[in-house]
Amino acid sequence: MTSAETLSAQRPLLGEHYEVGSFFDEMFENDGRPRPHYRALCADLATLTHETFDERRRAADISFLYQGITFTVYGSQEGIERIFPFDLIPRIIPRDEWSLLERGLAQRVMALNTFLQDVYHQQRIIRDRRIPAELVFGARHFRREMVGVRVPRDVYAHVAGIDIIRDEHGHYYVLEDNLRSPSGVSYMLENRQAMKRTFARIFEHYGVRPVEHYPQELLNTLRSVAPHPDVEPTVVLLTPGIYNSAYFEHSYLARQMGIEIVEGRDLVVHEGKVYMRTTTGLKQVDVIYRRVDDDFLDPLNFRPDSLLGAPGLFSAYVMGNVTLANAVGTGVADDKAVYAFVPEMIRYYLSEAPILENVPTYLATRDEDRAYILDHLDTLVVKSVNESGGYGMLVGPHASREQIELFRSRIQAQPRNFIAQPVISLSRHPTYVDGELRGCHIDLRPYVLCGERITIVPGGLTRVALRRGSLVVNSSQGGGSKDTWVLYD
Amino acid sequence: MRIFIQHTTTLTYDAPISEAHTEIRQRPLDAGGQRCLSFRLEVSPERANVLSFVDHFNNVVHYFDWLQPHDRVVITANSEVLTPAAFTDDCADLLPLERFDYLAPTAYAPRDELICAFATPHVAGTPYETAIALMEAIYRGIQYERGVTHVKTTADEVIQLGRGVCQDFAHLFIAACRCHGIPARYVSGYLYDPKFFGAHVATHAWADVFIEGRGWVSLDPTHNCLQDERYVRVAVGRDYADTPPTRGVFKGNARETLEVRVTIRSA
Repeated sequence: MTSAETLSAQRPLLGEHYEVGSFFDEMFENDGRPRPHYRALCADLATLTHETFDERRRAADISFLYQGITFTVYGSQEGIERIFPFDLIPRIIPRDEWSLLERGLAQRVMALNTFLQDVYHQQRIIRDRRIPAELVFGARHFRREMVGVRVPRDVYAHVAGIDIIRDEHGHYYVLEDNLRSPSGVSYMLENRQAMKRTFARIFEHYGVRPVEHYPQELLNTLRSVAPHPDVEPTVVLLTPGIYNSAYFEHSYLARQMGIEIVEGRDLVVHEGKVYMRTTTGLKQVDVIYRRVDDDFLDPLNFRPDSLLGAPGLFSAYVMGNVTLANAVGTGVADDKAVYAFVPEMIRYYLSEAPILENVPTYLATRDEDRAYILDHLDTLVVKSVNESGGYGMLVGPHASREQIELFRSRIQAQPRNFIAQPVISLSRHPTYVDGELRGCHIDLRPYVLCGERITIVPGGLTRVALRRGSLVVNSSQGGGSKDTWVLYD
Repeated sequence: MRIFIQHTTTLTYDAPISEAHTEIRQRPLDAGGQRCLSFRLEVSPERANVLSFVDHFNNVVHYFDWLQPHDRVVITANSEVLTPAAFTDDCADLLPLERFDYLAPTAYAPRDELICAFATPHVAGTPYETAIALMEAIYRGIQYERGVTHVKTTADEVIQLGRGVCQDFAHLFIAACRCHGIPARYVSGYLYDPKFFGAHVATHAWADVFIEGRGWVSLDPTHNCLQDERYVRVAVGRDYADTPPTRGVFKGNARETLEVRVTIRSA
């Protein structure tokens, strides 16, 4: 061992070098003192050296690799399986902040579900001119086939992953509503397991609210929306298959819930009912937690070339013989242009003031907004309304001249496809990168379950941007994750 | 007029298929003054259980599956319909989604330069007169000829070809009306005309246009006339894709042959 390495190993983890900078740091005040809910953690971390911390970090990494917790990165030439990098420094949310988030999330998901019910039935919000008709009906994921179709309990988005960020003042905003098949919850569960193994003592004394019951809550939610409430429903998870980026999560959740994981070819529709093929014959299925997009569900009604779904599935659904979670057509409510109207939905349907704010959003379809966007491409974030996972995005301040001009022509050609938002300087959190603690930008994706009632497991997935200075936290864009601790008090 | 229709569809396959799912839109509508007095659907394989539901255009959809291997499906629909002397609309205003859908371009009825160039000169004082002018222009400008177009032909191709059948006339007409901001929808059905015989004449397609203050008006650009008692309405939609008399998927590596026979008579 060289002397430099010895020195580094003995250096305490929480050294003098950490820079809060001009950002909102989750752990430290501007003057460098730890925030009250991080004090005990800091005291513990102060007793660790780089060497001991590194040891534990390696142990955690190896355990993730053994369990096969990986995800696939799309858009790269070779199919890359990566470990979603896990950072051992937990993100901590005090009780009062969580209680605000919890109320705000429940309110938002309630409004979004009411919106979906309305859009696929009376269309009151459109008749009352609170949202432009062409924005809703022109949304790529609006499904006119769903008009007039009743779904159990009028619930459409059974699982919502709402992305929350904080600005440089620590103010919370909703960045995105993910209402189709939000992924990542398996990382929330696995990160917690890893933390408990690696930091058992700190964890035990911290008063962290549990998240382990998520699979049970998910199963309860799915059961509560079965077509016939009087029979014990058969619930399955429908996956596109092992080549899907979230396949690990699909098999993990199915195992945790104790339900079958099926692919389209395992299902068969007969006389308007859905069955799975089992070794003992066909078994009727009542609820499908589907992680397959609308387009691929049924070649008879949607994309005719799809092999991922089951022919006739949509007819069985329309006849009310099977529940799909999430419902078909939820994507109209997480369209990035429709997002701008969620605060209005809350006021319109619930007659309440929104508890959580939206990030200010400019719609390229509005003339004055578009003029503003085109004038400020170098300072705004431009997003394509139908892409997710950080694809199809322009971060103005970090973009090249060519990228900006490319987006300018795209916006002018297809304004409906773009929105823009100011760059929010995301809050940062100390994160172990390249042998030191560094402030990295984070967000939070809590998972909101909606069935008979709304259930939110305290916490969620905290994603962290590991590339220096990067504001994009998506797993597909080089992001990592942290355990999220919501405290009892 | 009381009209009887027998519509027989025979699907044959050159190799066995399985897990076949078929949707049928052949039940005459109860709308616009028309009444469907009786409707009987028979399918073979005989033991297939036929279910039905109503789609979002209010068309009645019948649906059945046959999972076991087979190489032939026969669907026979017998309808008895009472048609009004003239189409009478019962719709005061369009729903927001209808207004959107019936103005938006579709795959069969796109809004491109060719369509707009065709539609633009034919403008009259009122939307109704514009629709009539467009109907006449298509009737005079496009030659009715079988065999030059096919089931996937689009309205812009019809302009280039200058020829087509009723489906093509209807698509060009709705595309042109939409160019002028007149909501238009595709109508699929039957035409009873004792002068003609044969399935190609009996199954028919035309279009409805929505005129503010007046409601839906039903026009037939193939014959340059308003819908009258000889017309039987079966399904409506944005274009043909929303209204096919049969549509299905199956498993198996086989070629499908479709044979349709329609007999139509009046009491």
